[in-house]
Amino acid sequence: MKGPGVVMVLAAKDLRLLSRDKVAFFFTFVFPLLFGVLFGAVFSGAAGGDGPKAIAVAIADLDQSEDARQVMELFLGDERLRALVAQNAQEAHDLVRTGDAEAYILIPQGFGSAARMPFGGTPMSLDIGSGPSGRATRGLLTGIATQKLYQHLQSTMLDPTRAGEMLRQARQTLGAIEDLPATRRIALLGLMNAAENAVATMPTADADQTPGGAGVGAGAGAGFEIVRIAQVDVSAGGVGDNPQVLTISAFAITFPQAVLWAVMGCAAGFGVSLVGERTGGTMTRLRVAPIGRWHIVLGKALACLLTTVAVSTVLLLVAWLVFGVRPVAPFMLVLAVLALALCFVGVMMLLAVVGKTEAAASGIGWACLLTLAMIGGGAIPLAFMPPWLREVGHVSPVKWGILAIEGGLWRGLSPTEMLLPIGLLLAIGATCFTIGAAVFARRESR
Amino acid sequence: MLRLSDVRKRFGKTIAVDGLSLHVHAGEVMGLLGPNGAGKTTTIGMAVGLLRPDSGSVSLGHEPGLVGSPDHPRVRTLVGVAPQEVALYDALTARENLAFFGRLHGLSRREARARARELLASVGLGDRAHHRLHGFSGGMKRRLNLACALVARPRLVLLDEPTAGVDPQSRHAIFEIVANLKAQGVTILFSTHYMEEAARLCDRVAIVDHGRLLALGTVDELVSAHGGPSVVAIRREGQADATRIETATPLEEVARAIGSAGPAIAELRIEKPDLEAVFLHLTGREHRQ
Repeated sequence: MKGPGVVMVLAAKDLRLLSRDKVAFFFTFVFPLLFGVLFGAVFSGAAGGDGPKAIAVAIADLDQSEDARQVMELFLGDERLRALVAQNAQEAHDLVRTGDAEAYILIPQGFGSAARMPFGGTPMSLDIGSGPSGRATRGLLTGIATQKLYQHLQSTMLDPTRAGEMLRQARQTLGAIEDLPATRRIALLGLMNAAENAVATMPTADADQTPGGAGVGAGAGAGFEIVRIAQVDVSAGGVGDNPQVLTISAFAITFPQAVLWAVMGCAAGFGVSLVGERTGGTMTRLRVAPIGRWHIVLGKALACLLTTVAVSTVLLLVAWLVFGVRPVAPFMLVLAVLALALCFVGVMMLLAVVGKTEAAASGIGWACLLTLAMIGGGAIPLAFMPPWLREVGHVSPVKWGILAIEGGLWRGLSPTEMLLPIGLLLAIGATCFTIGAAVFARRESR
Repeated sequence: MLRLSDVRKRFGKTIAVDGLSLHVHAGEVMGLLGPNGAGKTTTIGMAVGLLRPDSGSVSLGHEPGLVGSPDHPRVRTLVGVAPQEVALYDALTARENLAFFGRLHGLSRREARARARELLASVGLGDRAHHRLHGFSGGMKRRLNLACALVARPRLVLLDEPTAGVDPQSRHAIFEIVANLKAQGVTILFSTHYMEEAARLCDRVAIVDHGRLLALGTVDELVSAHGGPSVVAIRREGQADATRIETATPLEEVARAIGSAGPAIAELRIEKPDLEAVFLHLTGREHRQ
């Protein structure tokens, strides 16, 4: 039999062995799929219920005024919050302490008075509290609370009765100021007269205009808006493209990670199986057969390559067909998968020579792979890592693998932009393969 | 068929094979007899190219164009090996194991399957062809291990302690297989430390220890050369223990005893030296690891 035929026979044997090893099959095919689906569901809030994107907040109304009730309703109607109504401050505090809520919002006593006198010197206030790890949550809540207070103020100003009441109180306050210069007093009184005339001609506020909690800074129906901020995910395409097209699914993040876990599982599995050939004695038979040592290495490499490509393809197809993660650059994605597979075939070869027993090879191999995954964004996306760790991650093929897959999946990287991750993957793979194969050949030629 | 010329192999400070020379002729069965650690497995490893001698040379083959070092894959087409440890894939079936190794030896898919079926029948595993090896007994695995060495119809078969740890039935089956191979003219190098196996199966026996060849010849030649004298044991009426007489001519000693006067002979026994006596004489009686 010619060389390629021998290599294919060897690879077919390894694929058959893999199909009969339930544990290896699970970690190669099933575990990565679970990883992609479960983490995608968690990050996207598709896990059911209110979803993890809604912040659980305990809210207590300590003022019991009409204004406090209205602000409370604004919070309860916001889809970004999962509001838990507390009866008092202690209960709100306890809900956070026990983990039922991530933070609390207290509407303090005097809130109603301040709301009725927005220009009276005492501002409306809220108390926001969270656990020690909730700095980001607290910041987000501060923004949401500010928005709600503006909404409440806006709705108040658009209500002729409430606006008239505010202006009368303001006029009384103005009258009580004795040392106000006459010219300024005349100007302010003129302004108030004009305002009262405007309020008198306003229609009564429609009950349906109760402000909702839509976008950041959204106004109260037909009224004015202070600011509107659009949220756009950055992916393929240029600035100004339709934001609907650019929306990134959480599965587009987790499935590239899942592919990396699958590829690492393949590398570890086939690396350990090469050690197993040695410890199980079958290497003796292989070496006595009229084939070269390179056939043995290439047979294992081909099996690893085919499995890696197959599992990557399955995962990406599931991401596309089930979760709608359609690749924006299919050809680039194919190149990325091939480069990734070749890279980890090299890693497999290196893992096959790091230990002399299967247990040692598996232990050392997974320790290395987990480290590479941790620093390369295989477990936690790089975006959530501190800058120094992101720098360290440059040495990990996991980082470049994820970048390459994402490049074809949703980043829409151009061929030039793909050169770096693909080139590095091939370089890492070639280096690892050369070292591993050389050590293997040296050991087997004793 | 197989020639090892002054081969030496060292592992660290341990000398495994020390200047061993051996010539196995085509069609003969040669026994490689030695205690544990004598260097038998290392010798077989060098003979088939698994280990590279530190010095000396190994040559295989007896046909023009098919003679050379076992490092050459083409030369290894002549060889089949049954390693000391069972070397098969437990997750594959018996037939798949044989067919796989048959394919590596150049058989077509169809030839490999047919050869697997034939071999499984010959080692008594025809009804287990489609069973994975997980459920096989040690003896069944040993037989399959041997069958695997024969898958490509080799002209030289090296069997490294093929009967170690097997039940009597499997052992008997292995003996029959070796006898059949011998009848077909296959050359066999058979390593063992069981004397009766060597005496029963081998045309010539090489006794090795500490990596050196101590003696080589047929069993009779070895016994004659290294077995020492025969012993005639005679016990007469009234004697508690037999009198033991070492002699090179035991029949003459027996005739002399019968013709002599004295109490009647109650027991008479001739103890001829055997291969075990040769082995112990050459390798000593101290225990080995």
